Amino acid sequence: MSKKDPAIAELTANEFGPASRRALQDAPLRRALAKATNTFKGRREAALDEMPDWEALRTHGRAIKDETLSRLPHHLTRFIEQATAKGTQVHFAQDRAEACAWIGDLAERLEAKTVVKSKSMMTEEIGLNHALEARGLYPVETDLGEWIIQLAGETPSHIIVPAIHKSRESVAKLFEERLGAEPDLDAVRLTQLAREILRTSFLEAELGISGVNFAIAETGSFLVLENEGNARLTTSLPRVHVAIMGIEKLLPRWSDLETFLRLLPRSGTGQHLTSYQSIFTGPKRNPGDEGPDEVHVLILDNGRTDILADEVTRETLACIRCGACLNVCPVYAQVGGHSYGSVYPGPIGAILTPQLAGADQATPLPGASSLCGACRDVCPVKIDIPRILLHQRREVTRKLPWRAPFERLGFGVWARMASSPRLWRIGTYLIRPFVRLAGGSNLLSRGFCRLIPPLAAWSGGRSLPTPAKKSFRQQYAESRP
Amino acid sequence: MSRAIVMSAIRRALRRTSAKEPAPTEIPGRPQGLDSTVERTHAFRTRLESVNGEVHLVRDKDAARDLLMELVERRGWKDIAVSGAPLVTHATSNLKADLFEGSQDRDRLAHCDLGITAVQHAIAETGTLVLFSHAESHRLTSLLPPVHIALVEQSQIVAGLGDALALAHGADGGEPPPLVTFITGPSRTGDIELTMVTGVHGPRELIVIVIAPDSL
Repeated sequence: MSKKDPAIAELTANEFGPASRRALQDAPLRRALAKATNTFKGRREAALDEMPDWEALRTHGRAIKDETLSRLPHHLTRFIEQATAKGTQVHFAQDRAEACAWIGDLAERLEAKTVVKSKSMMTEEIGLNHALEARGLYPVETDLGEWIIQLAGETPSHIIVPAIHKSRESVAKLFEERLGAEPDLDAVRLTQLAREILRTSFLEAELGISGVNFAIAETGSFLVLENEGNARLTTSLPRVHVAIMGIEKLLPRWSDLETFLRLLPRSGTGQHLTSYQSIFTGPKRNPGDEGPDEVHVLILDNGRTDILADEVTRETLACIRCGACLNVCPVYAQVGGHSYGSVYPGPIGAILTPQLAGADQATPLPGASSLCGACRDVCPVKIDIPRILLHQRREVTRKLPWRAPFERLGFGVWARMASSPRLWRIGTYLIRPFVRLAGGSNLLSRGFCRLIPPLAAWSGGRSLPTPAKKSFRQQYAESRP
Repeated sequence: MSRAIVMSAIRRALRRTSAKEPAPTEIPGRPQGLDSTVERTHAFRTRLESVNGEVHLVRDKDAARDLLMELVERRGWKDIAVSGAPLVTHATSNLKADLFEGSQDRDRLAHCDLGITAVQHAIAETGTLVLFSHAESHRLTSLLPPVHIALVEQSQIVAGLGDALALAHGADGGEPPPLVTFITGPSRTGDIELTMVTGVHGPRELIVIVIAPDSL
């Protein structure tokens, strides 16, 4: 656990409690979340109905990811060799400071006045925009949702639809205030306006920055998948293209793309395929060809080798960032992405954020789950998120006992009692009158629990059930002839 | 420097891990029963139409040329970018409009009415167009104009994603070309309240003319 800057930019994951309580009071947010998560759930299910081999596909996707991770040095070395042979320049960065500095230096070398960006969770993770702004560069987000939240000075609240928390009215108001647009435009007019304004940026830009969905060791290629066409523009118009990826984005073979092209769009948006896939293998060959003169790939560690080293949680690195687990999560659907205080929200964020940033930087997140298992069931690469959440809860109490002293004490007493029939009998006999009194009415229950600080936190959102007059053991003993 | 540090950190992280077996070569989820060109053409059309693509089937290259002329006249398109593929040159040979090579003039491309390209392959499974940068300068002509018309020959339609990927793998002298583009429908977004809007950054309309003698 590092004392330095956490691996994730602008992290406030330890504020999950108060942030989620605020979100629960925000009726428009909860309406937007319900609409979005239900729509995506429905679309995904409809797309899966037409894919009878779905389970086999998931198993295959996971096998490819496990194979890749287990021989990562081999595949990375091959990727570097192949990409370099095709004219792509490959670079490494250990952490976000190094990555941001490298991109800033590149932009300065190019004397870039305009930098355009397509959607990339990695650039969100490293806080690239703010790092470049500190050097006087203002990268333009070009994905419509990302551009909206950039204009609003906010952060994404969903991996796939970053501005899901904003209503059409609030976007119209934002465009009116920031861009001088006519008031109360509809979604079509707002989108047209974005197209016109961003076209100018695309045509002026000297540098385009994209993410990477999959990189292929065999050929040194990488793929970017999208619906809007902004990633195609970002990677086609500027003179230089930089693609940023984590070390885990590799696939061994070109043919592995087939499985992931079936898994990712269905899981993310319920599409059979998104509108566009671009597979890049080096810059243009002849000066007269279309496309950038230089193609760079920046490969980041930023905490991932620590995740790789832990065999219990390693499978977190199989994630392909589809967002399906967000849409099915009963917690995410109520509190939204911002509550998690991390660019990675929802179930995957709850397990990824503490691993990237350190458990002490995101103590509440492993608890932000009902352990219902819906995330595991929809995950296209079968990541056992509930298992990892439980492991992390255990780690928090083990490594950071001062963070949960009463839980530790309480469950310690419970464990002792529950594992000894005699202690159990005596304990339940003694506590029974108090619990019956407290559980009898909500008011009393609250009053009783407030007397003891840790119980107050627990009882804030729960009521104590009234126990039966006689315990099960008493009834059982009496019923025997 | 960073490369060596990261690589050695990865090796250290995996020092107790043995290499996993390669994933099975049998790939699940492949489409079934698309054996004939007629079946593939039908599936391609159905799938592309389901994502707002407009598909026309014509008997031969001359019929494609006639249909294109009719569309251009009806829609009043004046300034038209072309990719330079032979099929495009044939289909646009008697158009009464200003034609220019899209790859040569990006500012004009950004303000023109229409971009016309051919394709290298198409995919029945998903209704997808497949274009290779070394075969055709399609990169900007299929992207910047508000409308993209693509000319497809029925024989170019393969059954599934795997078939198209296999063809792309060695397309450019045994290697993948610098850019492989898959296009499935017009540019779209749902970023404002999930309302589907086409033409956010790329073409608002995708019109595909399939030369399909076997189907007609």
